[in-house]
Amino acid sequence: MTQRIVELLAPAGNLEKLKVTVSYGCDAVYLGGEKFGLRSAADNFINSELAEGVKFAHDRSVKVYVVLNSFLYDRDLKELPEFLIFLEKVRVDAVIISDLGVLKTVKELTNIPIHLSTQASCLNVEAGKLWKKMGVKRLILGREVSIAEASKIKKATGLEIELFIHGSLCMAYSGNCVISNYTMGRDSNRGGCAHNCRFEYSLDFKDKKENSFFMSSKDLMGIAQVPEFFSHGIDSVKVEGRMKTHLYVGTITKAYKRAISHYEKNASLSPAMIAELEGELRKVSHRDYTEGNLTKRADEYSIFDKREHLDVDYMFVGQVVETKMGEHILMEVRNPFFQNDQLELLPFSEKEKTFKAFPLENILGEVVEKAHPGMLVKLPYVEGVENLNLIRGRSL
Amino acid sequence: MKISTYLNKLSDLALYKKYPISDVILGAKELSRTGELTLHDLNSWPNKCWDAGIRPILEWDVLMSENSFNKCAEFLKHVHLNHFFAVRVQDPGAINYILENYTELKIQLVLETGNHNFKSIETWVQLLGKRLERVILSIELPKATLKDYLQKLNAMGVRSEILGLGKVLLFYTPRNLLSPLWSGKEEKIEALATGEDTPHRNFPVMENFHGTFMYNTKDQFLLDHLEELSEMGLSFLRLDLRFDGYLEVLPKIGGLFKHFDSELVQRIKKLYPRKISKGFYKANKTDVLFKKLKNKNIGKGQGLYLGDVIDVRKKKLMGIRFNSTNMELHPGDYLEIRTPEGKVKNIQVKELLDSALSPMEKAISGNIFFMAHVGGVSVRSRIFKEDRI
Ligand code: SF4
Repeated sequence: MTQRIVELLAPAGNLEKLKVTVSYGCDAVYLGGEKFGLRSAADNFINSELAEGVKFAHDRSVKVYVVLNSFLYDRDLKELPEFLIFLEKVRVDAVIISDLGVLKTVKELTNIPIHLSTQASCLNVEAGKLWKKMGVKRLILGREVSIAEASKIKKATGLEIELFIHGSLCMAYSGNCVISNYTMGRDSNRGGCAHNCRFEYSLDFKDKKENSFFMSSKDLMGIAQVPEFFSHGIDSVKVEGRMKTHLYVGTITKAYKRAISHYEKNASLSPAMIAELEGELRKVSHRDYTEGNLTKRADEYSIFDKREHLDVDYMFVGQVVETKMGEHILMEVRNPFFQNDQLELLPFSEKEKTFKAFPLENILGEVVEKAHPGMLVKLPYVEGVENLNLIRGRSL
Repeated sequence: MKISTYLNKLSDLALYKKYPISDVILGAKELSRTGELTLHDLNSWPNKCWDAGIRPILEWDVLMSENSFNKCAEFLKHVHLNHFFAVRVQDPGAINYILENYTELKIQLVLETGNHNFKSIETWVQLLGKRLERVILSIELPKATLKDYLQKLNAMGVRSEILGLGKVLLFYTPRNLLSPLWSGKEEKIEALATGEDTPHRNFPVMENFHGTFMYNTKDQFLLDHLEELSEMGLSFLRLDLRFDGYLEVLPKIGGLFKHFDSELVQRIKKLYPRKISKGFYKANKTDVLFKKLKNKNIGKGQGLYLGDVIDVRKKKLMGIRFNSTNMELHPGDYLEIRTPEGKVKNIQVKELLDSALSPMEKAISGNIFFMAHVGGVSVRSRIFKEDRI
């Protein structure tokens, strides 16, 4: 049985990560240029990289959406037209906006389809109707909206609907947190969020005191809800994480692609498969997972009342940049590991393959005991390896 | 310039009447973030406001996912809306609902989050047309910008309002963040929160029916600038008088509106129970700091972006990943290399090698190629191909 398709939309923090996520099977990517997006610390794309990214994605039938979701000042708006004309020229598939001034400028100058950013906190049918009047094609709903509510918004507006399915959650209604602005002098709605919600706070309730990370949210994981995304007609599911590593992006894309493709073909997702994929999603750096608001209102168990930690069982050791059939793999090292370590290759769609890092040589053919980030190493050839595959290892 | 404020006790009307308070905001638990009035209050107080010569405004400022929206819309059916001068909304859903279903009701549009460019404000104004009674602007707009916007709004015949005194909302979530730490059954839970490693202490936090709210440690206080704001053309200054001792402060504020006196402002400051600040009124530099987070050095180069340095064997070789799809590189071509530290090296390519270190005639997209290491160039340097031969 063939189901209608749910688009898997993945983050591309830079050109390399775009290639990773496209190779691991996403249907669309979202990325930011040098300005106008909300991730000031992300690598982001200079124009020539952006053009390269669009070409790479389009050659593989993957769509590219560009974020322009910062709350812009007047002076920024003056700089926007040049960038918009460039985006139309390189044929991006949509822009993601949250500000009416940006929306108006896009409409005045281009025919690029407009997606409303989650930053605009579109939460209900009536809001959807208003944004439809404004000419948006897709609503990226607030993370407070359930799948069932999203479905109602879709039916009532006829617009495309996108929901977050995985990743970090902003605890506040998007666009409605200015803690960084007032405490750090950094505008969270212009890319300067200092993540104050992740701090530990001492809470004084008058008659008792309590220390708590009470504002920190667990991370969203919606793999078990994939069938519901289908049955409710959601058009696109989005993975958060333009700042995350290649391994994160690759692993998450692969897991969700498997779930979506499997459901598309079979109209079911067995508990065993969900458990297996959840196991994969737990191998990348994450806070404890929650279903957020996907099926019911996020409750007290959605609070991650702990200090941030990045302990993970697996780490990203590198990416394959060249293969010589039957001879060797050339890998760009991202985290240190030793000769003889057990490594795992992540093929684009097949099961992971374990192999031993022996022999381990640098590009000059010299044997090295330890591989360091910022070097290329030759590893033994692994059957089925492809360029851009990721390799992970057990954390030290 | 007139005053708008909140009405929580009917008995306050008599006092408000004496001062230039022209509008009172009425918030019910069901529709307003912090309102505590009942349906009965909403339906009986407005006429009393009109009798006192004060215009009643209904506050519907909660943000609502679909299910909550439907509950609010149902509640609204029981409110005698024709008794109100206007309704105050922020959620675009509420805006659209009022526009389409209550065609006589004027709208006061809350643009306090974002809307930091005039084009955005102007577009909202055009969308609401004659239904718009006023816009409530962000207190993050610095004076110079505010002045410019007020001039433009006045030219368009649109009234304006900003918060002049009161708590500054920093954070709003629908999740219940305090109740998991609190065993009581109260509908409203309050605490003071102090974050680690921060000089800012005692952020007021409040959880109620709508979620959890955090406020700044200092309240907005613009009473020193009354004359200036009035000259700039601001129509309404909102004073949030929901603090202990407001009965003593209000007459003094009333006096200020009649005749500005900076000594009186100082006395008000002394009486005011919380710490105060002008916020971003003087200047807003909140986008200056984070620009430093970006590595500007690595941005654009001369010529076309080719790829990145991914391996360096000092004084021997460097490995480059060829990212560009639209070009080739040959021995003899010129490159500009920009290092993460901002150094720029211009070189001519002598020899290109593959991963077996054998010479290559050319390098193309997707290739990893090697060439002689250029002193000072490190991993993550970017390579641009220059347009010269
Ligand atoms: S501090 Fe937390 S809640 Fe506030 S904008 Fe940043 S991530 Fe969101």
